[in-house]
Amino acid sequence: MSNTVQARGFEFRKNSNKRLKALGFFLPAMILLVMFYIYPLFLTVFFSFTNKAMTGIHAKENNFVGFSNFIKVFMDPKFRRAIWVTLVFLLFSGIIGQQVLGFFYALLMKKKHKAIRRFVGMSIIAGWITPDIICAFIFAAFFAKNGTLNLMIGSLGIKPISWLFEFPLVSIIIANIWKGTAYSMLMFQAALDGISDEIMEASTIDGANSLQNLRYITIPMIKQTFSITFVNVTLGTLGTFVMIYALTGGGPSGATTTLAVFMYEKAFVAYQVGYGMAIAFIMLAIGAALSIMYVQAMKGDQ
Amino acid sequence: MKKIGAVFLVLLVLSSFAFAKGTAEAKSDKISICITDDREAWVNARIKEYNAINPNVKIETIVLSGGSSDRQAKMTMMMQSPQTSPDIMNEDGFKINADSAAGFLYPLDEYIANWNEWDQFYDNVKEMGRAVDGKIYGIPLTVDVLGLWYDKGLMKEAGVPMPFAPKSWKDVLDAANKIKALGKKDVIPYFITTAKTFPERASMRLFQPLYNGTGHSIYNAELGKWTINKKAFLDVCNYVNQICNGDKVGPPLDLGVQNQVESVIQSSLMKEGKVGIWLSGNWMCRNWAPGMQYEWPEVTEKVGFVPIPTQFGQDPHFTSMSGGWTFAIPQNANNKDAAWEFLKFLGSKESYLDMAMRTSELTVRKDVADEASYKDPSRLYIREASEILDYTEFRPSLDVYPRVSLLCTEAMESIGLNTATPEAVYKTFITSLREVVGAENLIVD
Repeated sequence: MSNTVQARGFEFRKNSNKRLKALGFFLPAMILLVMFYIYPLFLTVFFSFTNKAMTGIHAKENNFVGFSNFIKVFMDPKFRRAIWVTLVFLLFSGIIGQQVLGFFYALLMKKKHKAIRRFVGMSIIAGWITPDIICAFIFAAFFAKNGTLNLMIGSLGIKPISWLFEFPLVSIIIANIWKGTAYSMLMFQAALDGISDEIMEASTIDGANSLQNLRYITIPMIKQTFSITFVNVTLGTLGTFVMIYALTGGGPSGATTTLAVFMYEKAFVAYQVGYGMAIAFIMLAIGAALSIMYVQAMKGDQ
Repeated sequence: MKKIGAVFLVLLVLSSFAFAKGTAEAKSDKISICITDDREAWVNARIKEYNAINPNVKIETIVLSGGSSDRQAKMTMMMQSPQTSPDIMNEDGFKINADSAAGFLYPLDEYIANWNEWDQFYDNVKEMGRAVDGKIYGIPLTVDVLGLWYDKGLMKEAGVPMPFAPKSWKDVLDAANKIKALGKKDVIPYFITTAKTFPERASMRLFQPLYNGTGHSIYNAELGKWTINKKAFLDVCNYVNQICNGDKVGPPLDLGVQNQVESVIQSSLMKEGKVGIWLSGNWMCRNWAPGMQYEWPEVTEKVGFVPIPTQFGQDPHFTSMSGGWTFAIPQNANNKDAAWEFLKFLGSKESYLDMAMRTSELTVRKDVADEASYKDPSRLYIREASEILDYTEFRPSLDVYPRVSLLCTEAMESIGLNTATPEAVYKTFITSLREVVGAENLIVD
């Protein structure tokens, strides 16, 4: 009897030693996680319920204001416009642009000669590895009145257009597609390479044409990748700030003021940190909701 | 191996805290000064001189460039921690109140009480450094005014009587229309800034001087309330609308929204005779001075600078808005006494004279203004700008001001881009203003 108890005690000590050890190894990662992810997130939520300002009396003494920041945000017509601009930007540059284009690039490059794959791939990846601010400069030059695009259309006899002024949203959408398509392409390339040739051959022998192969074999088999890239591209596009701010500053007249730019304006130009945090919190909620939606949609189909 | 890695990581994280604290404490014999990029050469010259007398003091400069609002945000954030705060901050006058209320600035009254040169500063300019609590937080550095730059050649050609001396808003608009009637391609008759690209610009350099020109003021300091007169507001909107959309004498919109538009005007448009009238600041001429970026030896023959008339020429006949810069010592400065010693050196007569000579800026010291070299006619437009000082008004130095100013800018942008009628702009403005300043602090008539 006593031997059994001793053995159990030993076992318990051994286990708790193991747990302690595991905790020791786990702790640094936890500390970093708490410091750089959980704590800032908590602060964002906390400050969104205060009247904290960057300067002025409310920088020193900020009070809890309940939901007043959120009420103000939703009453603000500029916010409603920013939501609309963000959704259009997300749909056309993120989902349709980067995702669909990335997928078709990957599809077209499948089974192509290595040299072609390398050349096309590197050209597209060049956009992805270029820092945002440099992308903004490239596109500022591209869309300028005497820039590359106008030179190109000028050779067709079309008058120069002030792209960033007359088509600001279209311009930033194009810039963002150029910048981000490589990510989706790489993800889809990896997924497509994972589909075994036997399956495709079998379905072709069964009489399926290319479109049917794509619809019934390829797409269902890489659903998981769709889900991951949808989430990543959505979150990345929602947070796009540098390129928009450097290209158009959110203008003209709010035409390119996405939620990220709107948040910056409120927090860093009007110094209303609490209000800005409320916008950040809403952005976070939108991102989370869309991500859950994608994942659920993909799961449901399976 | 993994164990060692984990231990190393923990030590790295912990040591970063220790290091951060250590660097803050080791600053005793050195001071840092944060300045805007256009003052770098002047400050570096002073540091050299100061080090010749005080070789033990190491002075580090933190130079900030970039757009006004981004730079302001950077400065404010720097002052929030002893780890990042400079010992001297080149503080924009309009932020003194907000930053002192936030507890970022250190009151200088005790230092000033023992500084016999303080009497040499103009009294009205001294107020720029005073907060509503009555304490002085900033030593004035510069003051500026607004006016109308105009192309003498274009004016003559258009048949505008010279010298150009507009007495009302209409006179300016008429002159612009005459320039337009010349039919010259690429000439912008009347350049005004309505874009939000630089949030303070369309407010301080368009809306506010015009609004003051109607005989009203957006803030009544005696009552401590914001005051908006609907008719005056609509008059400003209608005038800007007339310039941009009615008579179409304003700048092409795509040029107006460009980030670097002022540099474009200074470096090429004015020189090429492509701008008739330009409502802007007196400091624009500094880059045309000898040895400067856009040096222009013939500038005084080609370009004139006159005050902006009031709406109908009513008293006081002219209008302007002034801003200005100060030097402040942040509350989080690590070495305030050493900072003050250097600040006294920086604020001396010789030093301010040197700055005025370098930049063609208006001085804030009486003894500098009395110097023959300061008054020298070869110094660009200093006489014209000095005269405008009599009419100018300062921006309300309140912590809510940046938010109010943003609303003024947004109003001007909506008019400039023709996205809303003056009535609609007024409605949006008043609704937002009421929310920003509180209905109890606003008088609408």
